[in-house]
Amino acid sequence: MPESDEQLMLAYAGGNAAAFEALYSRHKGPLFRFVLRSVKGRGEAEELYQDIWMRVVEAAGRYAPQAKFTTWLYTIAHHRLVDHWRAKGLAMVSLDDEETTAPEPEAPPSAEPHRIVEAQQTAGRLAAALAALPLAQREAFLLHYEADLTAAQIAAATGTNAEAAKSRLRYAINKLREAVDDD
Amino acid sequence: MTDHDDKLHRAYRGLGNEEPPASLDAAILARARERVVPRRRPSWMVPVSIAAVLVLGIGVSLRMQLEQPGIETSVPAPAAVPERPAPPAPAAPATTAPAASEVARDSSAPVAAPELKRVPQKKVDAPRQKERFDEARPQSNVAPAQAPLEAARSREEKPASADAVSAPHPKAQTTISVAVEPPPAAASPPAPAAAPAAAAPSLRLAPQTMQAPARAKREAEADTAPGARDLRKSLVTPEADPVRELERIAQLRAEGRHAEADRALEEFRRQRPDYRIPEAVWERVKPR
Repeated sequence: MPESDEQLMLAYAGGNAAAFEALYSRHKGPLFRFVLRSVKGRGEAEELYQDIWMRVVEAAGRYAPQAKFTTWLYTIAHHRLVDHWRAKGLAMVSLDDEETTAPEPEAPPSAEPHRIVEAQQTAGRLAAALAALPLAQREAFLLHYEADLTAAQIAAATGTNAEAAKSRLRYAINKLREAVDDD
Repeated sequence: MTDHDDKLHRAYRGLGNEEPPASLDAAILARARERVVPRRRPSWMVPVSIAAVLVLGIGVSLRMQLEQPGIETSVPAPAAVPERPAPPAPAAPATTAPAASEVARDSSAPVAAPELKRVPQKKVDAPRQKERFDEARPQSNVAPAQAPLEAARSREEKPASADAVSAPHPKAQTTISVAVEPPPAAASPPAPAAAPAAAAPSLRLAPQTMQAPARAKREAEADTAPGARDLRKSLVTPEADPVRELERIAQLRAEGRHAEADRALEEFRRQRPDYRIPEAVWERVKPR
């Protein structure tokens, strides 16, 4: 019977290294993509990603399952990103720069060449639109799409209120829809 | 609406499912495993053990410091003297050997030295009076039997120290004078090491007699010794309060000690990953 994230985290805090491995394998993909799409370069993303996990490891002894583990994990990630952005003076979110470093979209599985081209174009537009979003909106969108957090959980993770989180998410989705529908 | 959501969802998934590189996974998992090993022992044990060793060490050294000088002669305690029975001088000869062994057991220093130190302590340390009397009595038994002449000479040679201590009561004088003179066994040729040891107490007695107030002050300071104060301070670290810690980091920044501030900020983040630093404070602590 699979254990919950919270149980695994408590088991790890109690000295069970295997519990951490299980937890890590569950969350590594979404967290990595969240970080990767929040910053400019892959190297930067990897460094931040590792740092976030190290903070999880170091905070394990103080972990108390008061909230969902995912919310706790992305709270740590949010704080790390905020530190990162602050250290960069927030200039890194300049809209002009973002488009050039948007992740290269991968082609969805499709056999037809025109569909491939179309999908690539859509993904490219989406990536550009995502990169162009204001930080808070992009973070809300990624937390919703990657970490599967609700608006309330996004609010908890980012230290804002639920209404603001909902609003950010709505704005982000509307802008991205426009980019995707623009064909 | 749903159609739009599906389209957006599909398009988002089309961006790819990037995963961290395997080397990064391995590094993170290795670090996570490393952290598990020391957790088997409660993390507080090491610092508490160190603190306990320090406290014991400081306590023992302070105790030794307080006891070793051994002479408190500011005011001879007249009330205490009558409690001490007169030394049973005539019954002495048979007790010579036990006296030496008892004194030797009581101290790791050469035999002559502890005898000379301990006798005067009786005068001011009332709670220990009886115990010390037990130690002193055999000494007084030893001396008259073995070297009455040397005892008398010793009194003549050290009037300032011995008389100052023993003046208030004739019985006490007997005890002191007998104890202060070097034991004949130690002073005799087969034990050459005893000679300097026997000379030492008379040198020590006089300054300590005069330093009684200083000694009392030292005892009073024992509780507030720098070591003990530091130890107490370290148990209540300023880092327990995040606001104060941030203030400290801001202070470091203000003083231009950026490297220390960076380290402190990094450590702060590590210890409190959930803590939200207010914007105003962040402006003061952020890396330059």
